[in-house]
Amino acid sequence: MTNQILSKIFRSQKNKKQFLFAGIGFLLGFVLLVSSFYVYLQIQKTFSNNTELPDYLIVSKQVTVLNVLGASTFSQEDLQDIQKQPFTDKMAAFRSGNFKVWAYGNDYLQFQTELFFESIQKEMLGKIPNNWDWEPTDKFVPVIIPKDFVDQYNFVYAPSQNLPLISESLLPTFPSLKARIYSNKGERNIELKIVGFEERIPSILVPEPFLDWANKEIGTSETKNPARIVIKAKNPASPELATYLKTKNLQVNTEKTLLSKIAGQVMEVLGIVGVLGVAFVLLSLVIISMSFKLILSESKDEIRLLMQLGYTHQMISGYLNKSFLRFMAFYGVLGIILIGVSIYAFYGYMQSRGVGHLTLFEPLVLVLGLGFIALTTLYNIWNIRGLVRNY
Amino acid sequence: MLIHFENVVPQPLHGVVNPKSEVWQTSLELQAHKSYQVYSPSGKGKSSFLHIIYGLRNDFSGNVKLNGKDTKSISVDEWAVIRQNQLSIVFQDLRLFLELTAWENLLVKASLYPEIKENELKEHADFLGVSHVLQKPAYTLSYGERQRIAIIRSLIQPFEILLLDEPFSHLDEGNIQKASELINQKVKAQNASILMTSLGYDYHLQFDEKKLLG
Repeated sequence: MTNQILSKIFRSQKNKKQFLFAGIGFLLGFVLLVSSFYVYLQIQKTFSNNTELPDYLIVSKQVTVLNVLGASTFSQEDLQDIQKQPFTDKMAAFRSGNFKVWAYGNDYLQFQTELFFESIQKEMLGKIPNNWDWEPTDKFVPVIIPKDFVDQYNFVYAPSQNLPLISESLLPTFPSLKARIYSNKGERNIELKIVGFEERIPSILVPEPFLDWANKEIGTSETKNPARIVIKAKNPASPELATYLKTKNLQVNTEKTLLSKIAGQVMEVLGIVGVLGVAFVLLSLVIISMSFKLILSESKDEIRLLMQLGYTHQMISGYLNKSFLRFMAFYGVLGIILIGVSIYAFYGYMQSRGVGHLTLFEPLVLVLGLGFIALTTLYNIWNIRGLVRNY
Repeated sequence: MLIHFENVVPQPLHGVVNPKSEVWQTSLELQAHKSYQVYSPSGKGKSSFLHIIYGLRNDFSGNVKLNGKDTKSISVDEWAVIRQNQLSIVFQDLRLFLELTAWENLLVKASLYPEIKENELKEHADFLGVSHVLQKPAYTLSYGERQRIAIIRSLIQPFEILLLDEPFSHLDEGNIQKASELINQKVKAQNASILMTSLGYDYHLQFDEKKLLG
């Protein structure tokens, strides 16, 4: 009853407009702040060392006039030195076949080509295929081919030759390829079965047991130093790593470093967005409290008269607090919904772009959102109390 | 409620107090259950006198006690209780919420007392001839109509003393008679008393004593 009457006294058309603007200001700031914080967390997660996405660097020596004749390989000392570095989590060298390979294709895929086999420790593969092993009694030799080859085949070669496309799910049904491995020690006929694609390693990979066997059976006996190694870095963006690579004249497949550069820029932009968010929020805080002050000072005479008629200031500030809480509840819920929608959209977009390791729900984001609402509410309730008491 | 004035002079009257005054710069006691009329020509502090008792102004020398308590030491919260239960007032300038309707103006007061029946308010409005303006915004009412709404508003609450500040200034004889009748009836029912300022007329109210203000 009292509140109905009070709302008639305080709720003028002008006040409604002010509340609307204050609400929009609050909403903008709130949504901007909380969603950019979410995106910031996600990006940080993506580029920090604790990510599911392994941070592999494929490192080779730079080929110069001086080392063109054999010095572009890694010696045992080189490898031990790299292994010791603080940025190295794991390291593995590529091993190569000491024999020649000639592949023939099959009925679907008619081609002849010379190939070159390499192998690498299983752990360094992005995805280890199910049957990634080999024994001399096996009919097929599993191979992993670079994703780039597959893309070129699928998008360039296959359409022009009217050939079926290949995809990972179709691999089990894909017919095997005949090949001949040979050297001056002898030759063997083998069948190759493509079991997977590798995004990061631009090489045709076979299981290590097969390479050992083939090198022993028909390979030339000399063991060469590896020319390329894979480093799993704790944090590929670490400055020690960059300095080390530079001083040792090593080159890296640039994709990763490019990515960290991009990450740096994205973080910067997000930082700016975050600052903007904070600015919006502060502005909206000011607008909200100014609106309240204005509404209160415009209603100064009414508040005085109410007190002359026996109203306590608790009744009046109680009413004003209640209507402020309603205001906050409305815009708070609206803000949370908007944030939810934008986070979900971001998450869905990233998923569709193949970034699957993000988390939809971040407790810290919730804490920030609720904390912000609580702060705004408490500040204004305190504000109202002070103002009404002064009349 | 016992009201005691001791050597009180409002700021604006300093040095110009009429020595014959029975209120200013002297000792004055207004006893409970006794009705008083305080009279004077204009400009001698009639409104100030009631506002001091009602706790609206503190710019006076001397001291005023309500039931033995110095008014200057009464807190805002205590004033609210006094204004809810012990003192009711009809302001000379009426003090209605002009944007609200006459009816809503009555509700502002009535909503403090859940036991008040709306029917009773309507009967009072009917009796004073203002029921036809109840749903109109107060700013559209004539001064006489507003005065009657203010009188009804002052009678809604329980009180020990009804403070009337020239309450009939804009009413004709017939309306004064009716308003006085309603006031008398309410005062009697509550075993309360009246403290009225006026230019010196009794109207139709009974007073135990009259005091010259200045």
